[in-house]
Amino acid sequence: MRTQEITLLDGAMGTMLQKAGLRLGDRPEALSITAPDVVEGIQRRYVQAGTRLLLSNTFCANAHKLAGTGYNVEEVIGASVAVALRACEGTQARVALDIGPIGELLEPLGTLSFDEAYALFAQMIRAGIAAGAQAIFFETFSDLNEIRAGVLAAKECCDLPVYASMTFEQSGRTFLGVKAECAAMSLTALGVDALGVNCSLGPVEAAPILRAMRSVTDLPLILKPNAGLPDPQTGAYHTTPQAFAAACAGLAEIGAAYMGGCCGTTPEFIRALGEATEGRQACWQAERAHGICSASQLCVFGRGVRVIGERINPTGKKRFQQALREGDLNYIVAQAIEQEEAGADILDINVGLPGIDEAEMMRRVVTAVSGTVSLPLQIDSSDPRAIEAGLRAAPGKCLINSVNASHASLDAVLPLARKYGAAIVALTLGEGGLPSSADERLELAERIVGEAERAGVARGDIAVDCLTLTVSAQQEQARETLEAVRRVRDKLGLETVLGVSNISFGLPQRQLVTRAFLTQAVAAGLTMPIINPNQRDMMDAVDACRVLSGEDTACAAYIERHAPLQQSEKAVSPNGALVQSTTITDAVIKGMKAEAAQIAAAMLEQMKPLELVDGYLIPALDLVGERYERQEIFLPQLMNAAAASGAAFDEVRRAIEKTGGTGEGKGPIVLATVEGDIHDIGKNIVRTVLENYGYKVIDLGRDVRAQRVLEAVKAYGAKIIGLSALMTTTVPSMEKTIRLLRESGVKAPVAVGGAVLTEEYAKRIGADYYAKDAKQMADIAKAILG
Amino acid sequence: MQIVLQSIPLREVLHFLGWRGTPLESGLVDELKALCRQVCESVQPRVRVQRFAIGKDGRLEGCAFAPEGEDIRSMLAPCHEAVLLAATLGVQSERLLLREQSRGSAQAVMMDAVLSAAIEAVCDQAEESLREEARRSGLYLTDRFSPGYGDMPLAQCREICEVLSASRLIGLTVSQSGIMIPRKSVTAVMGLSKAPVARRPSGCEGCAMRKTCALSRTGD
Repeated sequence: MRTQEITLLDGAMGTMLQKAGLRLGDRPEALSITAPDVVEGIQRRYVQAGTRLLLSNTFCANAHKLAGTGYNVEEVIGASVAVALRACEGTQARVALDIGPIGELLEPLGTLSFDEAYALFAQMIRAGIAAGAQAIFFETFSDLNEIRAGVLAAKECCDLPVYASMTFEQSGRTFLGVKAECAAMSLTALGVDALGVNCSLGPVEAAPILRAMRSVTDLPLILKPNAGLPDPQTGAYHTTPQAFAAACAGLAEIGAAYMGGCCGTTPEFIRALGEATEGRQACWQAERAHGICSASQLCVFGRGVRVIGERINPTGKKRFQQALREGDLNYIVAQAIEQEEAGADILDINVGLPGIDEAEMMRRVVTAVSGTVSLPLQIDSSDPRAIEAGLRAAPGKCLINSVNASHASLDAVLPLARKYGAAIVALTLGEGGLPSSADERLELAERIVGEAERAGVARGDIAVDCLTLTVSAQQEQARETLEAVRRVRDKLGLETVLGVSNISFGLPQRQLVTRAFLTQAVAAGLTMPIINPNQRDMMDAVDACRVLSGEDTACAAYIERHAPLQQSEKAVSPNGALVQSTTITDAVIKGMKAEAAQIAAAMLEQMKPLELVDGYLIPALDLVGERYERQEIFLPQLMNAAAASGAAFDEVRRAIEKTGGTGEGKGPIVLATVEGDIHDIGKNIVRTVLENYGYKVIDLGRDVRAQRVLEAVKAYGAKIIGLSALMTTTVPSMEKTIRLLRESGVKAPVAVGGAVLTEEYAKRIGADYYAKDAKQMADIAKAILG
Repeated sequence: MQIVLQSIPLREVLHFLGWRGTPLESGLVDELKALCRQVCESVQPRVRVQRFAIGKDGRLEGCAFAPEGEDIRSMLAPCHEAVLLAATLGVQSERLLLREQSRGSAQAVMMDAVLSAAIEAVCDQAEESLREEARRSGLYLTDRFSPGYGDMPLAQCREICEVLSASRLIGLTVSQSGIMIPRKSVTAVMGLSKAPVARRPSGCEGCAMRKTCALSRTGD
């Protein structure tokens, strides 16, 4: 049991300033300069009411929000902290630098990068320290990665106490879908001093959220709610200070050690809070659940079998390697979605490939994947730089795969695990090479666990990999691995990981051996199998194991997944009759993907690939394009037709590669939506259409900096550059990109498109071509590349 | 303001996809309907509205926002109060778009249209409830006028968001380059008048996009 004195925070600032005449939409922070007495007066009333940790008037004092006010960050923070320090004079109250969200959405959903957010916070923190702030207080965040950027900036810039609070809806999630438990687990991992809830709800509604946080953190909690829920009509708050204080005070028993108020609260609320908590201490159980999480999904260790999906890994996969080389994140994200839908609980992320910057690729892949799937991640690399890049970028708490018993590995990885609070996979491998027995494996596991604990990694956050060796090469090792798993479970009581598929390498009918090994290993205590979740029989085995272990209570999940099987299998059976009566032109025009591929494959047995392309596919596409222009079909039909011809083109490429040629199309054409713009649907349509005319496209994605366009153009030797911008506000960055390309001597023609552009406008910003739609872009490509 | 998205009109979705009445395969319609259902189930629309008295100089009282442009000024001329509105489908809409994008452009195009129709439906509902509220208190509500319409600068969406604390209260942010994110978001101004107000004609004539709109070129 832990206990701590209750520290009173302050109450609302914004609503108090509005009462004093602040207009909505004006920056309250500027008042610290223009009307310091007003700010100090309010803060002094809070201190007199009992506030002992006073937040400076700096909530939005970041460089982006202050732009256009005529003041810079240092001026506003300097003045605000000075005002707060004056308000505390003669008392024991301390001043915390208050930091709120930047007000922009981070990548990948928004355009603000993690590093930019970090830099904005770091600037505020340095200014706060210079002005004499005694703590850093983050509040009202709804994006886990944004508050993580802030906390990391605080931890890396200073040694002051760091407090972190987020704002939740009654559902227990933030606007961005961050779950309370995930917030608590992630912030605990980063080593904040206290964490909790502020704004959006009253103390009664905040209570269940705080309780949810309690289960995954051993830190003191922050409670800074609104004065109840506002009246839906008037927006006014009706809770009395006494009712508010009584509801808050009750939460001292789950460890709410920092209490204050948010919207609608006044010094009277703080005074009432002081009276209600008089003589009380915050106390709580110092135990917490271990595990990992994403922003929205928790994976608590010790609750059963958790499947780690292994598909995001280039080893032995040509298509995946190509995606990495071309930076094709869509392909990688699709792999993540597929595994999530197949039932994976955790995704392994491995992007190591010779010739690519692994750390930068790790950052990009982790960012893109965590924007689209909600699973926790396992960062899989042997390069500490790449591990750190992944841990930094991932919203949540990750698992590191892996650290082994060698000094080099322990020294490089454990400090990262400690700094980011990550869980680790302890791989039973030492300086002496592969272990040969269960004893040796256990000994190595114990050594890593000891070192990890000494380095500050919690024991419960360690999972042991007892190392699967190939049974066809070292047959007796399968037994040793299983025995080691059993001993780790019984003696160390830790989670275990195994790369299950390794077992069957080199054998026919691999899945038989792999599946038998999986079930034996789970019986021996394996909790985190690394498998391909897209293999239905492997996931079926996991379902069955969960039934046998009792994890799947009343077999409910098993029944749900396996009862309706027959129906769905019937529905996807291919229709042979249809294929025979359909021509390739029909299949393309009607957008029938599977049929187009089948027919193309059949035709390729009779004719040369080029004959199929020039004689059938291109004419079919042209026909579709014409019908689209005549408005006989509309956009989704055009896109479905493109997708169908794409499937046929895949067959063509395969046929060419079979005869020893390269299936690569003409080009390449580099495409990008310019910096600052995230509207990429038009660009993606262009990409699809170009690819289906057989061109090779390198798609750089959206919000792409000019410098990155230039680098890609040079690296890939682009023959055409296509730039897209939808907004008037982002056309300037298109112009900037073209200028950079020209100044750097790039001769390749630039074609531009986007809703606000015109032929004339395109010329004015230096483009060579204007494409009003995807069809026209294909015509331009044809004119240039043939 | 609480808005629940119960359904998305298929006609509107088709409109956003540029459909002109050509025959539709049933497969496509089913797919669009399924996307509509998915969006209704998974997105959580959030709307903020706030009323402000209009001062003599045309500024809104108690806030730092002054509508710019002749068009909005003439709309508000007969009004004594203005209602500012900010609405968003939330980040879930961005996630849905990213997911569909990785499945292919056709899916992304359809999802984009469904989401566009969805945010319109949300705004229509919000406007309808404001109109009803106005009617009950004997007032008349003007049309919904958004930054970017007519000569009202697009940049004013940032100011409306600031006044309504949209990023803190409904999760609607404005990027450095002035894009509202989530993209499926709307800001608008409406006027309240004691006397009946002229409404914009609903065809192309009253539409600020008439000069550049692809749909209007063919006379639709």
